[in-house]
Amino acid sequence: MPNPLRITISNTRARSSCRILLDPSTWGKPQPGDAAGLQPQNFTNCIQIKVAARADGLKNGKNGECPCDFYKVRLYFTPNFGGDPNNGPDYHWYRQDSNGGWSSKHGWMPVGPQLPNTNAVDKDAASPSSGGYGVFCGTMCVASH
Amino acid sequence: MKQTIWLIAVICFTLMLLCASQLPGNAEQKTPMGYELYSWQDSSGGWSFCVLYNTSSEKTVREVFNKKTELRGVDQLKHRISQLPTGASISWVNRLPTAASKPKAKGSEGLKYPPTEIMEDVKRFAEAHGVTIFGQAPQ
Repeated sequence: MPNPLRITISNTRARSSCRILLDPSTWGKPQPGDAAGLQPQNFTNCIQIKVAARADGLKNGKNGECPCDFYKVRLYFTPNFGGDPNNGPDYHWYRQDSNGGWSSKHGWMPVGPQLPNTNAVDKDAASPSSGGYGVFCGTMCVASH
Repeated sequence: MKQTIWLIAVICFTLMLLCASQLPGNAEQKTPMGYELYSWQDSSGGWSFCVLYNTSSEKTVREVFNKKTELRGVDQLKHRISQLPTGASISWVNRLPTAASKPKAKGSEGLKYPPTEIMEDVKRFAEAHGVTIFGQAPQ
């Protein structure tokens, strides 16, 4: 896999995907809802993000599971990045890789070490070094093709 | 002979512990390592900067142009960079929202990159402090 820059939701209605941006030519921060043409918004809770992601073609997971030909992403949220009340809200995605592990990426940092299971993902998301994403919004499903 | 082997083993173990403690991103890391740098020119022609944590969300105009976090001049920016943890990375951003395909946010029109010599100077300073600056985005 080329060196990815950011895990984000960016897709079309016809072909949804949780995309990893691949190079600096894709500079920017695609936001949930962009692909569907929604107006930019400052997400202040899980529901807003999930509504925008569904507009892009993602589906809600059922009991944490996804249909065939979809892969899982886990969405996390914090009302104050880093637990600092001076910081605004933020969200973070983790993607399940083809080998069952989970990976994520913070901005232009290298992809973090793969995490073995959802417990590890929860712990990683909530850690101060990740930004303290203490709210698990849910599992969503992204079409593989 | 046994004592020598034992001594070598102890030395190796100590060195391993020492090396592990030097690694960036070890288990003791408490601070996010990704940052965003915004720059703009004030009315007198001086450059102002703002270094914020990297987030998935786009920053707001209020966050970027916050007087509390504004860094006036290159010296203040360098001082801030010197406070970042070794191994940190900074994305130098010249617009809001960051994607060039979207219209600029109202109030963010002043965001832009400084001249190349300033950017290169800051990048060199950052590298010397173990901080990597990514940029620049398409103008």
